[in-house]
Amino acid sequence: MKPCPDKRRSLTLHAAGVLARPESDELEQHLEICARCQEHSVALRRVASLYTMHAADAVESPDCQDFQLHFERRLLLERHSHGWRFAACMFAWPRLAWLSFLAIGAACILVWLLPRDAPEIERAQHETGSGPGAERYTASAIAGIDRSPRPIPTWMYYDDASSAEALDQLLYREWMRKVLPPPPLDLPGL
Amino acid sequence: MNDTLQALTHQDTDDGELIARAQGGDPEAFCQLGEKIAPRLLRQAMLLCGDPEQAADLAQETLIQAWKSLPQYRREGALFTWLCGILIHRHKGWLRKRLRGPAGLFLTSGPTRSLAAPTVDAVTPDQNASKVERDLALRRCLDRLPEKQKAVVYLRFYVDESLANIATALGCSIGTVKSRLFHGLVKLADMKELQSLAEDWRLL
Repeated sequence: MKPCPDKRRSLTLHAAGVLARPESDELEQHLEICARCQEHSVALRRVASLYTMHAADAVESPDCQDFQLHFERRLLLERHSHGWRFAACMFAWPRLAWLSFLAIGAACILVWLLPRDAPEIERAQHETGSGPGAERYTASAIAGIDRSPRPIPTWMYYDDASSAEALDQLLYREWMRKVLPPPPLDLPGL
Repeated sequence: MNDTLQALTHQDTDDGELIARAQGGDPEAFCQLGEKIAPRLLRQAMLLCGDPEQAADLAQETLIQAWKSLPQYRREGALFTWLCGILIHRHKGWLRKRLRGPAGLFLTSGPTRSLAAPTVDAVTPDQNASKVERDLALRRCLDRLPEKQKAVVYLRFYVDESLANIATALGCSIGTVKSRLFHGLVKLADMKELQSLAEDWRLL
């Protein structure tokens, strides 16, 4: 026979002797009128009594003095051979976790506080090659501001732009140069 | 019963200094603690194993493990309950090791020498034999429980701890302890072996 569903939990805790007083009194009143719960309660209390009885049994324990000697020896061995383990235990979870969180937090704050490189104001210069015919162009010259018709490799824009804004300008001018017809060359000596 | 509890609590308070020293890495302090706790711990190990040699091994392993994990002990509950939590955990490992062994299929967590080592209160050989059988059956049934339920049932019935102390020792909430105790006890009550044992011993 199954007990009342709402009483199953309290019946078990009652049998284990951990049910609080008011609930226990209430359950005992219920047990007087409910045969199913009574039967279940008896079964649970029998099991509990078996274990309580077993726990109270007199047992033949091993020799304590002998045990203590062995234990001290083992502890010494353990301490000498695995001394590092003790140190590791000191930083075992959750201590290690907290230390890790602290370290990560400190690293984040440090990265945030470090001074960042200011954008270069002066534009980089590029050489077209080496030898006597080599020329140096500034970014503005490369972008065609001074009407240079030379094709420019893309990496140069990235390399020469000192900021994102400057890169935008360079790319815009290059695009304009491609779309619009090339202006007449006005180079000295021609 | 209350006097015993008070005495134990008082003893635990006295042990506070030793625990603090041991947590600081002083092995002598831990040895002193071990000396105080050993008889009770051995008794608990004996109840779980049933064999004096294995009980001594288990208790030693428990104390060594406790030494290693001592920095993690927060002193919220009694040291002995915390040790019993380790003991039951080590016992599970010990059972696994035995089952993996060559004769594991034929072994249960019963004693290997208990039949030859009668308990103190045994009166006649018949009574002793039936008592040994009962102990074996009780251990076998307890070992069939899942580890977490077994730990709670063990700490409640063998160590006679309150729900709050069990919760502290196992690092879980009182509600969880209640739930594990409920499921554990219901499973035990459903075991035919225990039912017939209760009938035989004419309990209640």
